[in-house]
Amino acid sequence: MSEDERELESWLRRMRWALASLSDIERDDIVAETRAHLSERIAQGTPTRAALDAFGSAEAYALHFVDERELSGAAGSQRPAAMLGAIVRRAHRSVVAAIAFFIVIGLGTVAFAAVLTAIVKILDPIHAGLWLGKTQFFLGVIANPGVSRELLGNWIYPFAALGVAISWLAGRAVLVWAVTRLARTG
Amino acid sequence: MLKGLAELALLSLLDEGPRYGLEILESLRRDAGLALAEGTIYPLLHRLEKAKLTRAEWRLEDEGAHPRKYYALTRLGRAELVQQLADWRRINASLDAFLERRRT
Repeated sequence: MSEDERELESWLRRMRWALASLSDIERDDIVAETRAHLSERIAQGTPTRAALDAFGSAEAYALHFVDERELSGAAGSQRPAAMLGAIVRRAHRSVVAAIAFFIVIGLGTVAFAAVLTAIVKILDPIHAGLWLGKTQFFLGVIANPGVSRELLGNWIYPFAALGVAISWLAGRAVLVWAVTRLARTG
Repeated sequence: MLKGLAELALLSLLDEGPRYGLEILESLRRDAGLALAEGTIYPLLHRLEKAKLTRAEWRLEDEGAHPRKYYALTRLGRAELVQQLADWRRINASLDAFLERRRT
């Protein structure tokens, strides 16, 4: 085996390792297609090193397939956990993923605060609620209820349920939008 | 954005008949003017095959030649091409009107 052939085989072997999360059939198919492409380029007269450099590192190239697979799987299943996982893993390198991540976190925080306030309201109805004062408007527990007006009373319970439902639906819609867009545009 | 354009151009190319990866890459670079990196096209082809927009088969055309994986558009792929073409024409017309607004 020549030095060029060894270099080619080593690159393909590293690519195969980096595709470990895919099935054996997919992995074999991708490696075979990449080998065919590289062999044809080399047969056209491109030096082996230049043909490999054009693909970048084996690990980075394999990551494109893993990324595509994860995104299309998440978009196809539309399972919130799969979509959220795909978004979280891309939030540091994609504006779309970062926007979706912060929207979902914001919606989750509102829903969590509404549910928590509703639970505290059962135990401490005087201090928990949606408060409007001269300088404040917030959902939660207040130390001195005399300085603000509570707006919801027992409506806090349906309000919390509605908040959870809206946050769930809106969060899911944002995740579907984001993974679909990422799958299409990267 | 380049990825979206590459997908549209790729679907359009496959609408003319089956093609293999290297042939697709060179056609998109030469005929569509897309500056695609060498390995860009395969993850996209892989995704389109998984989504059943294309179907693929390995062919060995001549003895001693390299085996090639040919991709062809499915009926679903043709419907996707029609949809993406309509989207592209709508976006292109809007952008064109926006860019030309000061000349009229």
